[in-house]
Amino acid sequence: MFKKTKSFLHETKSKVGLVHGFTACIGAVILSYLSTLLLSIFLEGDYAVKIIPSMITAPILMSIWGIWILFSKTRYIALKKTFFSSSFLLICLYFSINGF
Amino acid sequence: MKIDKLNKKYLTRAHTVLGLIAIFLFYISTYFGTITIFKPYIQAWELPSTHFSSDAEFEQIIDLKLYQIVRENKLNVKNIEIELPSFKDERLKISSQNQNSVYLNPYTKEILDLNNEYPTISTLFNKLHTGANIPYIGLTLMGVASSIMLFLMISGLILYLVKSKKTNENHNKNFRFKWHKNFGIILTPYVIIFALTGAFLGLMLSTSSVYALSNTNFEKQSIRALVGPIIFKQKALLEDKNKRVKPLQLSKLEEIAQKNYPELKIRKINIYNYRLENSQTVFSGYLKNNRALSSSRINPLSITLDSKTGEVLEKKELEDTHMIKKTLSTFYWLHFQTDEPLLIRIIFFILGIVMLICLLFGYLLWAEKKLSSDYGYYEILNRFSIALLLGIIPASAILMILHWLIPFSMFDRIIWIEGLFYVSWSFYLFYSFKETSIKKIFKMIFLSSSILFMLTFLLHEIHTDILLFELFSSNLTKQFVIDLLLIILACLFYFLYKRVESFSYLEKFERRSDV
Amino acid sequence: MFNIKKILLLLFFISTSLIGHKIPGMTLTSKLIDENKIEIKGFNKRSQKLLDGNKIKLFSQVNNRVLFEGYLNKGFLETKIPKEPYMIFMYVGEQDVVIEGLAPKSGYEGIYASKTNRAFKYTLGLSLLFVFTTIFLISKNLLKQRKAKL
Repeated sequence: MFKKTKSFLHETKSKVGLVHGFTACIGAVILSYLSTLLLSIFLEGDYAVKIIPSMITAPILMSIWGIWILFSKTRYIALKKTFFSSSFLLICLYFSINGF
Repeated sequence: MKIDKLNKKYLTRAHTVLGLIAIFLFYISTYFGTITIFKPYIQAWELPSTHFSSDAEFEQIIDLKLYQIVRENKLNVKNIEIELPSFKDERLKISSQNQNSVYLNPYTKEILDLNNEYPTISTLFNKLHTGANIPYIGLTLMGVASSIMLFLMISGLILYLVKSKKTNENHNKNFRFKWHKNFGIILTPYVIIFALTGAFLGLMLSTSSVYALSNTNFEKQSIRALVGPIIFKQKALLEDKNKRVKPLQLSKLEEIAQKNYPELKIRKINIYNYRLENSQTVFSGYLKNNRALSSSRINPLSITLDSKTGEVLEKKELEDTHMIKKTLSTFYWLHFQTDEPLLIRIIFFILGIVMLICLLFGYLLWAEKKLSSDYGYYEILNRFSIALLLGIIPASAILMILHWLIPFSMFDRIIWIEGLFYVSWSFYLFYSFKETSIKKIFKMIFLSSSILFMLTFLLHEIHTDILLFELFSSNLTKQFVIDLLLIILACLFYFLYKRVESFSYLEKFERRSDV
Repeated sequence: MFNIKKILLLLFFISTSLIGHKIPGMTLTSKLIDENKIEIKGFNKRSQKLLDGNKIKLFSQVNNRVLFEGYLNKGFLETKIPKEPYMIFMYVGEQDVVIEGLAPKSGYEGIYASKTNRAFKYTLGLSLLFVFTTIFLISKNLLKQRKAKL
């Protein structure tokens, strides 16, 4: 079974399939929320200055991250992009909130 | 600009699939949004109490009447609000938080008999536009559709800018493809404005607890508690005093306020502690030459006077306001055009109709491609789209007719009107599957729209008892123009009904098998 | 994809409620205190603040007459229960909040049909009738097509 999954993930496709599509959509939403949360931590000022600009840029970032994940040749690369970027952003968030 | 050929294929497919998912939600939102651009004018048309003619003599003095109204209706003297007549609402409104508002004819100063009227049409159109009619998830769903629309715009732009070696000749000759592309490019600023503000209002505000939780280390969940005190700071109520003191006349106070703040266009007057010793009067509104940054919903500017002596206590200018308040005010001004008169609204209305045509052409491009494949699901989807996208026009005309037909005194009137709107929409769904020929469906939709728009115009005049040219001569221009537009729309749809037979494009979609 | 859109359309229909007479946050309640009396309470649910001075009107469900008029005194108002089914209106600012009135312990004299949810029930029924007829027509056509192919 593992062999089948591995070959499934590594094959190059000519059309956008279900796995590829869902990874792009869900990954785009998660990455945009994480990146705007990181942005809101770095903005200096009171709560309004921190929250509102990050909320305004979130929908634009959704499209940009989505296109980046969409442009992957295999399902494996798409999943790799999503997983590693979101883990990197989560670690950055954790350290920014709790300090080093 | 060059991108990989495989990536271009991915992008095209994503554009198509996401376009089909988003079109049904976003088309409805754009259709009702385009109508709601003219909300203040529609509200003037649908409320019979606004149909009063203007008098040549206009005196501002309302102090005696104000005293009478406050006493009879037991208004809360801690904060009485007076809204001055404007192009948005010609009536003078006196209200306080715990009672129904009282409306006055600003010329004769008599109290208008509201007779249980309610702005059903503008409220229901706005509700359908924001998606609040779908319980619990409606607003978020519309926000998601707006974000998808942003993606469609960005991917469309990328596909347009990418130059490929061989251009598909057939593709470029297709009328719908050429104009879907061209309209899409023209509408880029329109989509940025409305889809971005729409996604903010719909999606981001509903999921704002994520931001609140992370910024406060998982303590507070609602951003209203965090952001409210900074942006929406209310003036505190004054402390109670018992001594009654007669204030200066309201028109005199308004003169002093205008003299001290000439750029302010006064829209609203708030009297704190009416006729008591420490009474204060606040005159608020927007700047005449900067409506975007000082829009009256988010960032109203004001000047506070002492009611007894007329001395200026506080003056809020544009520089004193918070930067985020100015940003949000511009945001809301772009989406709602608060305080804007006709010109910008007409421009956005025309762009809205161009957007509807662009979306329709996008759908037709996909439907044409699928004509060559097997009958079955694609024909069902085509008929469903006709019912949804075109059947909404006569259904909204029925909503306007029901507003005048169902008596104002029925307590569940609004539910009846909204329910019957959905019934008529589902009737068109039923009809587009019962009738075999697609041309006949189009003819039915166009003919019924024409008749229903004519009926709306007639019912309005019969109900308010003012006929068409009397509207014009009594200076009720808003209502006259809307009635005229209804007649023009009825004639337009009748003309389309006559021309459907000769429209050969639709024959492609007729059912091919004899089943 | 086809099924999702049908479900979306159904969701459009199943969504009306007494929306015109509800204001988010403002709550109106009534409770029986005697055989024939009710106590009406109006308050803001978010801040738990009692509403003071708001006008209360009792309307008859039978013929829309005004049966009683009064004002909230620091959030409360006591009154006798009318002899026929009624609705309680509370006026706040631009709009009003409406609830159905409680019946007396021994019930009303005479037979009255409940009018509370009639609009929702009838319009929902009609819409669903059209939608199900459509689904029936679609399946009939699909079956015919499958038979013709064989």
